Amino acid sequence: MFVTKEGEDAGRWCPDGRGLGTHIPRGSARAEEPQASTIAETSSLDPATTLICHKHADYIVALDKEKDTFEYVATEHLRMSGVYWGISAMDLLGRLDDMNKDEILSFVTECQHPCGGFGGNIKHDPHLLYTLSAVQILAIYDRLDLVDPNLIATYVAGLQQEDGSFAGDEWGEIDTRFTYCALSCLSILHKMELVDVKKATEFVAACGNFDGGFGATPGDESHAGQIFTAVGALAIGGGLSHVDKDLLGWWLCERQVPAGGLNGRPEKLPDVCYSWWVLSSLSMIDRLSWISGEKLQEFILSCQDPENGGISDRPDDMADVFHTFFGIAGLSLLGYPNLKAVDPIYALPVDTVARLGLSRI
Amino acid sequence: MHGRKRETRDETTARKEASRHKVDALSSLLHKVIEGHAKKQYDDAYLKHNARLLELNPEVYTAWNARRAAFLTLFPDRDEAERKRLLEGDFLVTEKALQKNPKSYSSWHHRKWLVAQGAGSLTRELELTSQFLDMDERNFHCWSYRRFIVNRLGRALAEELKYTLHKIEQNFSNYSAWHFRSSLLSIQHHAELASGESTSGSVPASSQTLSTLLKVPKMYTYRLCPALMGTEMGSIPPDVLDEEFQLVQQAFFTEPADQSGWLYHRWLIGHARSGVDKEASSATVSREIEMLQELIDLEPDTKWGLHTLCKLMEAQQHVAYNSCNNTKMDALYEQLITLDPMRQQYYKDSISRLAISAAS
Repeated sequence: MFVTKEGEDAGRWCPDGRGLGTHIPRGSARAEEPQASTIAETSSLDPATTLICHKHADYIVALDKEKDTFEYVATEHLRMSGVYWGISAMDLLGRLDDMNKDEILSFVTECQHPCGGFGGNIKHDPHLLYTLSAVQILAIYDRLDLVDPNLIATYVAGLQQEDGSFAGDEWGEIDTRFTYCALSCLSILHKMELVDVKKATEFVAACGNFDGGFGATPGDESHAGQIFTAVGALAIGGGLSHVDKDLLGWWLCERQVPAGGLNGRPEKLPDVCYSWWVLSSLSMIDRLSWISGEKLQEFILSCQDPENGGISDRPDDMADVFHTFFGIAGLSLLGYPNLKAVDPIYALPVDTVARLGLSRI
Repeated sequence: MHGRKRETRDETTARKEASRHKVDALSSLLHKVIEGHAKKQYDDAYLKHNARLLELNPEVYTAWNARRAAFLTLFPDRDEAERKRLLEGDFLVTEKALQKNPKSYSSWHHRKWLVAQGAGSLTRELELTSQFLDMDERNFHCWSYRRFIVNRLGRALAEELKYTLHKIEQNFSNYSAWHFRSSLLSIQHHAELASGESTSGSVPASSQTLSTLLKVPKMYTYRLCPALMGTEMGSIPPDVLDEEFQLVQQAFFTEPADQSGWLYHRWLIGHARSGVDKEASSATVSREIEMLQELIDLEPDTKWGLHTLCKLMEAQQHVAYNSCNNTKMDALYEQLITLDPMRQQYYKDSISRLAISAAS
């Protein structure tokens, strides 16, 4: 009936997933890095050891130029998140100005529904996943003034259930991803008081498992992507005491495979997007040093497309904007030179988080 | 793109050319479905286009919403048989979608919605999850759906425990099955604890159903699991714990490099460590230490075995209130740093943690 590829795991988690960000102590595993200004412009960079920033920026800028490809049509429903991944990556690369800001902002506002929620594209239904992406985009551009925070916050708060969980939309799917989206969104809008934060964090705690990790709903298996959303929601909601940091940290550091990449569950293949989910989670529980940053960096760099730019899930696969962002964000968490720092909780550049008044320290 | 091989520019151009027709068709179908939903123009033809789109791209969440909205709009004018026909037909729509993408959250959610409307046969659904998990034993969406069905079906906990055992015996590396087993055991023994406190002589938890144990109505997608709220350690009795230790031992003697059994073992150690009967706990931990020594004699470089030995020695200090002698554990951690340098900082921090607790 249904077949999936052996070992593929992030497979379908990714496109719907959320990112995060942070401030990590810089410089630990980083000494051998080439110095800054040489990185962006030189054309003879070795992609095995260097992030080819200019190629990635060109790749992202070009994504919106070809609208008649299968990939473009097949991802129409999640364009809002695509834009968020794209501009966040560009911001980390220091190239945000290359994006068409006016066009993006008008797209974002056009996706808002009268209820306050945002769809993944124009005329697509409102959903928490895309509402968070929209708010993140507006935050990066410092244009939250374009929307009514009360309207959005009321929509988000209306999705909280009696047990503290959040539905993704009016159709009632429950998932720790949506708790993260809701709390991140409300926190950015400074409207946390509209929901029962304690119950929200207790629901996340109820999704905790025997291995210290978290799943989508109570009883669901731990998965690094869900762990990011659970730990992120707990970090935002002040509930990190629900996390057994040593147990979870051990499980997370065991996601690193001999090739240096990280997988999302035991016995699965590594994937660049887990550079974000696992690394940000380790960062939030102060155990980033439990994996080898050096080996992970090598893995991420080996997933670059040296010709066309962009980063893929694994070496020699097709690049996409999702893995490009999470690869770059992972490198930023590792302290790679000349990248803006990213916040592990909000998956936003730290300067954006600081401007919002949400820095951890 | 997950798992898709990189192409050269020429290959991309050629693929684009070849797929132009396909792209146009998908694009026009997508817009027809989205527009129809925006205008709420629902009829049988709409449902057909919509189903075709979802077969091609199950990720268009708005199209799933549109199906449910269409049913709710059309139902008041349809008779019972017709409503049933529509809902039953949608099981096939989700099946085709899941063939396209077995990890499609929207498709699984729609199937749950159909079941929640009273459509389909729970027994058939349970059988389908077994078939599906025979093909992909790690699909966590399917495991979650199975729990949803088991809950509604009122299946006894013991039956599901048997199923996890069957899956584990098929393949010791099936981490999903180990996970599910841990959650069932937590529920069962939490319930036994609770019933022991209130009424004696009640029905054993193992013969009860998940929904009764969780004291929740058999309604929607998931239920809160009180056993897992907070870490309820120590609720698994020693005899059950011993059986689990034996089971997991088979796993790591079969494949010592596989993570699944070791991760489960650590959970069991946690239970032994916090058991109420300290003598029984101490005996269990000592027996496990001996067993690990045997394994290490056979496989001196077993990283997982060495780490587990450290955790057991720590547990023994805890249950026997031993005065701390960390020398052996420190040596094991030093060995682990050499064997597994990627995680050296974790091992170093473990040494520091031991030193701090010895000093306190």
